[in-house]
Amino acid sequence: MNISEGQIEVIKTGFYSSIQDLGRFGQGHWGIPAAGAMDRQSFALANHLLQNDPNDACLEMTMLGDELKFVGDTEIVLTGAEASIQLNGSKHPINKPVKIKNGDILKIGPFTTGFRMYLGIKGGFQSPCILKSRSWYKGITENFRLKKRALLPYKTYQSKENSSYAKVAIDESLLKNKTLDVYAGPEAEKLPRSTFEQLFEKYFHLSAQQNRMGIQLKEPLINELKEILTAPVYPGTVQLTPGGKLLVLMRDAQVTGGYPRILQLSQAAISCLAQKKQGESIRFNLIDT
Amino acid sequence: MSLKLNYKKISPNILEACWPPEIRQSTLMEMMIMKKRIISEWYEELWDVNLGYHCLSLHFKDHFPLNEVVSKLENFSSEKFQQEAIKRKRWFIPVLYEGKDLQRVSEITKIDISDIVKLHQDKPYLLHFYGFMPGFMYLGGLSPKLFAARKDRPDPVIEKGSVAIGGKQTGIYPMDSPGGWNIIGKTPLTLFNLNKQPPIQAQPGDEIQFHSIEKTEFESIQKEIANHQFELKYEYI
Repeated sequence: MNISEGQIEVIKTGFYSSIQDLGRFGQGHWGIPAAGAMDRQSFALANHLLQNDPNDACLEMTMLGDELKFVGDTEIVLTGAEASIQLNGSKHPINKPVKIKNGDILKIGPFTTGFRMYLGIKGGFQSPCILKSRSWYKGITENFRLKKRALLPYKTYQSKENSSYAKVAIDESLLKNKTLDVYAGPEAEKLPRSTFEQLFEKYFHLSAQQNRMGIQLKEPLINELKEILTAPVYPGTVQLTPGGKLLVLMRDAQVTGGYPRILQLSQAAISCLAQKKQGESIRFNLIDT
Repeated sequence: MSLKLNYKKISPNILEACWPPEIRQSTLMEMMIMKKRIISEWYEELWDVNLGYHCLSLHFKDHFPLNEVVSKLENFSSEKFQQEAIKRKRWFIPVLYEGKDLQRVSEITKIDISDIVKLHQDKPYLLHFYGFMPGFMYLGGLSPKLFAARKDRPDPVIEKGSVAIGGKQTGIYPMDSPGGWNIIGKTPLTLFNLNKQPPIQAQPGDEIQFHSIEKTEFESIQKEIANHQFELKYEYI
């Protein structure tokens, strides 16, 4: 095995891609968001299939994939959303580690199912580690969104033998599931009982207002709650805005907020929601902490 | 003396300890002492410990034993908080009070611009916590005379270092950002610097004292910063 510097050259960008690991933990007291992979389940699968470290950085793509050229041998895997994927013009599988040769071109089309795809690479992407994480975030890392002609460094990897890959049952429910497990939020008890119950009686649809910071849902709720004294918020916190809209905070969310926090998504529910696109429906299922 | 805290388990990994919902200096000091204890007790188990005005959150890496954690927190809070002293600093932040929204603030508050400038630096502000964006301080103590509603149309870019008033709060933009606050001045300092560890120096519980500077001084501080000769001034309080 011979390790040297390799890199991906970005030929064409998709919709929104960024380098992500598990996030920038322990920095919230400086007001720095954790960031990290939106769908942790697919992110973890990519590293697991490559027998990487669980925190190795992957490329997270949103809605539409990128066109990438590899300079240096390696091994990759794609997880999460489904799409038409071509390696040097031939069909390329998902959820299966594949060897890559110097000069190979990977082209990923629009996603057919799911909203986020992870490109895992042997040993992880080697872009700069700032405050203990490689996750891109505006104001913290030099880049926050993948641009054309960008270069993504990795360590080249050649394996002579056919490696035996970790055998994993792929969780098909992640992309299909519409039910999000939630805990009652710290301000839930301030809601009238009938309003709180409405949260579990209907489907909510994802609006166009969504990014890595948060996802606003379309259906409003009658809201008579006042704003709260600014308090900590977390990925997965569902805030009730003064206009009655539900705002689900995601990985890039700020660390404090002033809207009532009425629900908290489970970790699995955050991953599931990260795979939904505008117009798709979800429902909440209340569980105990 | 025991504190009456309200504990909320938010998820299998997150616990909040909340003080009565008020903005008080004593609450902040108690939270800081509690935070110190929490970090020394569960350093390895925690992702993060965050503050709001009255809630302290413990974000564990994994599921945590609720009863055990709460009973330890109760023990911490029953100890005499007064005996513990947190070393606090007062930071001096130079400001050139020539912000583009001074006139607007003057119209809203019906106070002359020169008096706005005087009032704004009259007393030190208490740093409660960081939030909203990396390095953004939540400062307590703005004179009610200076309360000025945020703008209906946010500015697309507020420059790094801008000192502003938004509703009942005042603050410093640590980096370029869109925002709806009224800009009253600018500091030449780079408060949030990723090349330093930690990236920002003032801690919750510290005080921020603004002081007015002229344009020439603003420029000379900028030069000192560029030559790495500038030291941010502080004193212990």
